[in-house]
Amino acid sequence: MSEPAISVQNLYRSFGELQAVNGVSFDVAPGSVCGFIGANGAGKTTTMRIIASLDYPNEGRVTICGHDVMNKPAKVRSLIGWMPDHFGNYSHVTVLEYLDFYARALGYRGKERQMRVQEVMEFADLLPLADRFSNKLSKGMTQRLGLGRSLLHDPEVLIMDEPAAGLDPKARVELKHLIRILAEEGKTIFISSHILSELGEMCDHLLFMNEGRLVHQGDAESLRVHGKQAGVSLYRVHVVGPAEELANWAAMNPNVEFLETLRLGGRIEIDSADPEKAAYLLARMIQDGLKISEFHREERNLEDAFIDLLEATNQPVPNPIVSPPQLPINS
Amino acid sequence: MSESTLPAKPPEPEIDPIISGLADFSDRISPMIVKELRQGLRTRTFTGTFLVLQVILGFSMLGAMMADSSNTGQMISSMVFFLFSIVALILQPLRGTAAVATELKDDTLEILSLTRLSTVRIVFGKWASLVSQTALMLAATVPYLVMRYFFGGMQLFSELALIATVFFLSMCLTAVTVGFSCSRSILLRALVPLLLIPFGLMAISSTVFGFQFGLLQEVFSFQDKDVVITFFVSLVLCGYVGYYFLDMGVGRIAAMAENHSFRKRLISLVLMGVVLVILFLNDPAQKMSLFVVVAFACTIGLDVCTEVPVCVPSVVRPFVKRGKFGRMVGRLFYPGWHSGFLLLLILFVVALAIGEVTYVDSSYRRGYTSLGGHTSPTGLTNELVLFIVGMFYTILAPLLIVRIFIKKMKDAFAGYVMILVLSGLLTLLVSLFTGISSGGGDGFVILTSWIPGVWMIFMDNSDKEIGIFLTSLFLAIVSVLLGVLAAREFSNTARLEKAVADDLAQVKE
Repeated sequence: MSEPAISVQNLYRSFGELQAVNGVSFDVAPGSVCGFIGANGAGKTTTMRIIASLDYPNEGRVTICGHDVMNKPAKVRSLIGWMPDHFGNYSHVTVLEYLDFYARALGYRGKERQMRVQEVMEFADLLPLADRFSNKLSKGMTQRLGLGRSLLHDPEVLIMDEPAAGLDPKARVELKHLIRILAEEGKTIFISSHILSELGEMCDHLLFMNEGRLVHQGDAESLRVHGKQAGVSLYRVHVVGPAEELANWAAMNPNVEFLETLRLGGRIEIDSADPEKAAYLLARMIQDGLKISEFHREERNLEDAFIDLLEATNQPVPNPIVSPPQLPINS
Repeated sequence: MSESTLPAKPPEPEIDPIISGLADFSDRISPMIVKELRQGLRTRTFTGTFLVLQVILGFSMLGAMMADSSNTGQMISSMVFFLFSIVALILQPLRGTAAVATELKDDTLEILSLTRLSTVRIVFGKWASLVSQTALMLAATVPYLVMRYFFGGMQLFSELALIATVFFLSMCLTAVTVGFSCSRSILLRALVPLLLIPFGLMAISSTVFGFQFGLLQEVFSFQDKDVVITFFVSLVLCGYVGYYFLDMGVGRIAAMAENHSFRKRLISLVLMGVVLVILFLNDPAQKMSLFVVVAFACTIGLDVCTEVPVCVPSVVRPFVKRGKFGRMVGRLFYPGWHSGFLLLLILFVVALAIGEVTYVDSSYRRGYTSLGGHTSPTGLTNELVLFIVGMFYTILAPLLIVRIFIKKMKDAFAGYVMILVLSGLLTLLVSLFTGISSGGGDGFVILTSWIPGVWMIFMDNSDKEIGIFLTSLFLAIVSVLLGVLAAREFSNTARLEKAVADDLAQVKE
């Protein structure tokens, strides 16, 4: 098996009384996209900063492509690209000069430097912004510039802390598109967010963190079937007439739970994943006089699954887990 | 055929014309200077100052040409020096206060730390860029000095030496303000313009338009050896203070795992040694030695008293590797106020010894060497003892206050400086009170003698013994308390040293 791109073993970090990271261990395979999920204050940023050699752990070991972060920070820094959740840009410096400065600071000289800047500007679509002052860009443009900067030295591993935070839907689509291209090129991407569904779409692997501990790891599907809600299914039922009829019907059927009222009916939960059971219950509804206009199965969303998972493991439920605004299909 | 089998050379990718414009600065120049110059030359502060300077100098020149006076040349000189001094000694240093502070505010330093730029290159690059901009301003005033030559009465060498000195002082002041800009405290950075603008304006106006301009020109003719030595020692001290503040800034923003204290303290001690040797070799200037030691101690003290004791293996390891001697040296060079306190105690003893040795009356010394007879040296006077004890008390007392009352403060440097400023203000009030009171003043001075700075009032008193006694007593109390606190820090260090030594032993095995 190949060496993990990121390996975190038994990591602890405290700030005074606060235990920000509490015995976290995980590996990220090379060339994968790994999502790091948790509410604000869960310990994501602290963990990422330690991985990026910007902070030090009280205990534990972190390696990037086999190189120890604490013992070989210079080597590690040449292997990683770091994109923080917030960074300021310089006044009176154009986008082109900004990237040129960082290319110089990374040790590129002469034509090679110009080539690197050009490649990155083409990739992040920054050429049209070349003469714009870097501190006068929109949030989306700034994130593209940040991504460009973090790619200047062609790093093996890209660490992105909440890159989509504060972006409008269009900018989020653009950023996701760029991340997908990088993933296809074989870069390892470690990306954090508190927007679960967004990461679910683009990550091969998800890590869930709460109060400094890793509470679950796997893909999005494994989270959906994990915990107390495994073996149940959700259905959206639209009825002609008042929703109370559906609620009353659900109350009389022991295997059905009415979850919430919708404009045209409601959501119900059936204590089985078997489609035949659903078909049987649908037939019963019609038989019992409910006028069903729509009946379809719903995917369990990640936010619900995450909260269920925390409840199942007796972890305090964080607040808030944010749902993103709806994105266009095929983004 | 053979030609066709040769592999075709891949075409070189074309560089976009927009990007090829990036060759405006050579690769040999530090990236930080390139970035800072690109930024700095576009700011309104620079362009505005540059244009205003040109306009005023232009009009002054025109006015002087039209005036029918025998003193026209001198007038032009004064005007050029006045304007250039304001730019170089006030405006440009003031820009330094924002140098690193903006990077701290915008969270850009962290990203920079992931590049190959060290914190030293970042801070010194910022300073070098500001100095380069001052050099541009200087270059812009040169044509006016050339024109002034035609009005006659110009002492070419003196005036060139004077302008070079102003430029050098500007470099030092800019270094100090850039060093200050590494502090996160807005209050502390606000203190710089509050002090620099009024005092700078007063000093420049009185020097250029007062009688001292002619005197300065005389000094810069370098006729007197004593004056030359004093002048160059002062320049070295200014340069040192500038360097130290820059390096102090480096230490404030550097990663905890880096030890910048060793370099700073070692350079300070070596430079102090060199200056002392030069002074010892020049008999008339020897008396400056004591003031040189105290000046070095004050500069070092401002830094070491505000350093956080850092206990990480990477700092301790190089010292532990060198065995017992290394650990002993580490007691003076580990980052932190505790090692700094020890260093200051040593400097205190050195200051007393130097004072005792150098304050031999020069006529006695000559008699001793030429005649071989016995004469007793005059040694330290009461005034000098009070000066030494008072200065060290002023350095150490705020440290004790910081360590006891505000040790959790994030920016100990800001706290320390604020206590110093407060002490200065209190001393001023005590001084004013004793000045206006009739008879009861002395008792009040004794009551307030615990305030760092009040010892200066005893200097004007006839009864300096009381001043020496009280200030020494307070210095002793402060030193003992700090010693107790420092011992705790050293015990932590000793534990870490042991752990690191065990690690090193394991690696060897």
